Amino acid sequence: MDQIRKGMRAVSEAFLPVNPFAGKLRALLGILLLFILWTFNAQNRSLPVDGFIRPQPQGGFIANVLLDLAGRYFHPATLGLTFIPCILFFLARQQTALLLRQVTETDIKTAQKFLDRCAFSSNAVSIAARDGSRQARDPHALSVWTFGGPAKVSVSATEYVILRSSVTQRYQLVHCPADDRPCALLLAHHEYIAGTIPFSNLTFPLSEADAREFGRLKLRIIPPENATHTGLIRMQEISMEDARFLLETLNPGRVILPSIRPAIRRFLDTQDEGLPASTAVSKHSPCGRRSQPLKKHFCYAQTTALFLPGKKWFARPRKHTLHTGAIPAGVAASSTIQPLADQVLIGLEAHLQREMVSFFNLDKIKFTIENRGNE
Amino acid sequence: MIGNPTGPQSNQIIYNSGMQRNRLTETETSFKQRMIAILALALCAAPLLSDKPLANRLLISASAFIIYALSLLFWAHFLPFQHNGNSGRLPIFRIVMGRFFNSGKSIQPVKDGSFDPDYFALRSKPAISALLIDEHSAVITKADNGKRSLLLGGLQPLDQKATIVHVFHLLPAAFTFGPGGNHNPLTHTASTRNSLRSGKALHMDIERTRCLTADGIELVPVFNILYRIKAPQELENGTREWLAFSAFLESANATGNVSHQIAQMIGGQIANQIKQMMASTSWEQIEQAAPSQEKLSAYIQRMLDQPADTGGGHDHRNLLPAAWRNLFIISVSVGQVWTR
Repeated sequence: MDQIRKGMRAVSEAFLPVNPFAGKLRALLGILLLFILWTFNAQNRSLPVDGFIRPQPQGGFIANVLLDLAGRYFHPATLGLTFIPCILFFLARQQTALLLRQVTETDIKTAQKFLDRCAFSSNAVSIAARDGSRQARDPHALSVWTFGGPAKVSVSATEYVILRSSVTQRYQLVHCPADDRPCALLLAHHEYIAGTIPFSNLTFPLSEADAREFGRLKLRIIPPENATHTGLIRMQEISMEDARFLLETLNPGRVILPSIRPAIRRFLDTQDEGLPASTAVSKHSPCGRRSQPLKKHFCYAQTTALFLPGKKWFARPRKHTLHTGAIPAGVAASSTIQPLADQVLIGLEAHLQREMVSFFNLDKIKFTIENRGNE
Repeated sequence: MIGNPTGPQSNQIIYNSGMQRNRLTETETSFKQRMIAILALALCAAPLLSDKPLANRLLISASAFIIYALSLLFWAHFLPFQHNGNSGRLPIFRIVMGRFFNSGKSIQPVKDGSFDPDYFALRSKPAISALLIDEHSAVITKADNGKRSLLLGGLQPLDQKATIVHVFHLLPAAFTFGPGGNHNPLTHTASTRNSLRSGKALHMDIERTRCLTADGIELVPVFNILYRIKAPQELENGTREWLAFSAFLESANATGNVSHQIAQMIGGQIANQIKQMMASTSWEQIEQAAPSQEKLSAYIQRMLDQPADTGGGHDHRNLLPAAWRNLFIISVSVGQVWTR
């Protein structure tokens, strides 16, 4: 069954290539076929052409030939037999467009343009893979965003595009490596743009988490890079879970940040990823002598931050803080801070990688921590 | 005097007008489709009226009908609806053909795990021929004989007399269980609350997670819960487990768009676990292990992590009833813990 389906798909791709030139040729072929059918019907002797337009006995030879041809070609039976299939073809298009309109709640013109584009690639739709294009008023661009290919999509070098095929149900990550100009991507039949992810969306400041001690550290999502080249475009097949995770970066506050925060908190609480025991909160003496459980803060006046705080202009060593990432000044001389910080980062990176992969069931996506604190 | 209706009456009117509008659009499109189908069939039958021999007339009419059917298949081939199953695009063609000759039923979309809530409110369900389900949703339907079916993304035909029971969102979801806000809800006096209604809501939020230690000290933790329902493809007996979970949800009177109910159930289970653990712990023990407010969260977090016994991290499935464990991936973190 799979073999048959693959064969059918190959035939479909061979007959309906995504190419405006091929689309025009297809339309031309259709017109030629129509003319052949018309001629066949006109020359068919079983049709009752007699009595419709008769050559005049006193007319000239050419006039008689033309009248004879007109009588044959424009006979109602010939016209009916020739153009009824065309009308049926057109009516089927209308019905399908109505169905598309009804299901997807778009207007009928957008649906018709989409069907024409699929059948004849009659208009080379070229759109930018920017999310803003979704607001485009151009019905062609709108139909590409709503229904998908075929279309020519321009991908800029500062974004990833996630494609999905409704036939194979596979996701592909598309990237344009050229810095100077956008790459052209031919969107095939049954392919649509699931999302466009700017590079800036793949970086999250860890300081947004509850653990503010990570200052200017950023978590960067690294999409898979073993891509196949199609011209300038790089395409990489990714799993459904990877694609869903990358699409979540468009709205990081929904799930990604709520998943990073507890992961960091767990890392700090357990301290089993290389954070020295000397950084433990419990080692510090509580500030004040208030009764439990009102005692909330610990005294960190004698500690040094492992990472620079988030804002350079506010680096006052605070007495009362929840600075769990800090280490005691006596323990950490300046020469020992950097290796310790590196050790913590490696541990945190491994921890986040493990947690995110296990929760989101990720396949090829990696995480890294960028330390911009010491820049 | 006729004014703008307010209260339940207005809701009823909005509800009715929404349904009416949908029905009008549906009827208009169905009427056009039916007219086009009648015109096409009339054109196919037109050669039968000629004075040719009957065999020729039948042959021409049959050819016209075949051309019409092939044209429908040609255009339907481009419909951008995903499909799954071994039968390829056959269900799509079946739905398309069915639409043209039986337009009494509609095709409804299911997007981001939600479906028209009006449908679940109606006692007699409107007829639906197919569901257009996006790739992030799953639907459970129930036939007349009680048999359940799981429908995943794509244009999925609905069996006759089958009704939609549950709609699931397959993307991960995060929610907070317990009283929100930065003020201690236990010391927040009634006079500062905005109204009786918000006070009652706050009281209910507190009650959800309120724990009492063995010596009667009151604690109100707030849980940040992150969960993901595993797709059937990720499970060994995915479909069977999904259908069993659907039966369980229905027995708990949870139908329709169940994301909220699932969140409440998960939150309730976790809060119950903590309540039980706290009931056997004295405040002295807690004080020794957690000498600060911050450490109190970590202490409860450790209590949560213990039964998970999976090395901590994102896996707290063991906090759930056995029947649910395979279906979910859950991560629970303790946010604030409020005390008096």
